[in-house]
Amino acid sequence: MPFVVALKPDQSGAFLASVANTDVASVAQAGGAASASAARDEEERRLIARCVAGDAEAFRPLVVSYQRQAFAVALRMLGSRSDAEDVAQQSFIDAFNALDRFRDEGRPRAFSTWLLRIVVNRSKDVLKSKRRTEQPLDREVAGGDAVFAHDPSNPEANASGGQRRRRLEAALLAVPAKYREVLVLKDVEDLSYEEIRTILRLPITTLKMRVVRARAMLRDLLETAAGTEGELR
Amino acid sequence: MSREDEAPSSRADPGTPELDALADELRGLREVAPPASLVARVMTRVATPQPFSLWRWLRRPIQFEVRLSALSVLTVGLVLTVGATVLVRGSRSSHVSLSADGDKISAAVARAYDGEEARGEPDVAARGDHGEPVLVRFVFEAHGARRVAVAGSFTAWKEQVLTLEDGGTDEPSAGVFVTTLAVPRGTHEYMFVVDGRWIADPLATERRPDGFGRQNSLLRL
Repeated sequence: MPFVVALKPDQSGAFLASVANTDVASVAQAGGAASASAARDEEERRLIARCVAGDAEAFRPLVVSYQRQAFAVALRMLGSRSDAEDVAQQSFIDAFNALDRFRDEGRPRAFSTWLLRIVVNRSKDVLKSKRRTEQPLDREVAGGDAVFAHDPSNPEANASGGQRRRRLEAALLAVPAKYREVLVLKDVEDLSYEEIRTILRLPITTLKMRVVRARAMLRDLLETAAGTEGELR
Repeated sequence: MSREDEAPSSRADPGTPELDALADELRGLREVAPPASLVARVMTRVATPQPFSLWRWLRRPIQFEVRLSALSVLTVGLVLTVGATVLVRGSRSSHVSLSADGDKISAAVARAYDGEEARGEPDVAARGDHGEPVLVRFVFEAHGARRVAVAGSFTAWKEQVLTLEDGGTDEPSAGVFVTTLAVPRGTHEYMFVVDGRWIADPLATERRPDGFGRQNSLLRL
């Protein structure tokens, strides 16, 4: 029997669907968003050119714009605020030092995808080094026990409260890294498949399958965690 | 097929409302406040000029950008094809030139033949690399002879006919019969066959008894 994958459309798909509705207002809105995106890309190009010319202060708006995203991706990948801070900071510095080699080639969101590629790679490096020094790494172990074993002690999570949110964070960290990265980029950060393809350098088909598998893994982990919690009560 | 290409397990029913809801729930994890000091720390680091490092300078990646149009690809392909053809032909012409040298040598050592006395010799015209056969030009002068052949261990003693060389437009044929054969390296025995008569090479420096009371000429390569 053929296996049919029904996926949620990515950002570009959603945009096309809205245009197909021939709602003049939505088309105008989409057009406005596209022009705003193009303006942002152009502004970033100008800032990068100034940085390359030696004006380091021109890098500040870029850091301000993307600090949340860089930090969030690192945090969701690593589960540790201090590690995520280090990774985000070092990723910005790496990006700054390599700006003269950055080629956006007219791609939309070229800088942010390039920066996130650095963040993801640096996060993977940290995971690898931790795996070497802290065997076994609980977060990398699939299964409900790992979900409970890990306590992210995340101030944001604790502040917002919500058992469900904490359980979700813990379960996300229990998903193997190669699936976690697609979940973080696709579902948490809501990036398009095209952007994720640029960041991870993987075919879109592979990405889609990984997203499906990752969501299923996460669901299983959450169910296991809920079941274990129920037994403890 | 990679694991990613495999269908997920039956439990992982993709695209179900359940998984879609999970994706929406994950989106709720998006709101994270970065450390307040992150921008300041990054800007402090990037504003500090790094001291010159020769090692870093040597390790810096150098990018080359090559842009090719279809026309330039075709041109490069054509140039490569022509170049390869010229190289192949060049090697062939060097092979021919060696044979031409052999012609000169054989002409210099050709001997007169007075009908009864046959003279000839193999002439190493061109030596190949080790393991390759060596081109040997066999020359035999036999005025009045109708057919001259050479036979030896390198031909499994089958006769290889020599061609009567033209002596020139004004001169009658000098009765010089020639052929060039590829002979494997080693020691070989051979004989000329002139109008059906087996004759040892009169110019051969070495001979060896053939076991039937006659002498075979010896050729060492």
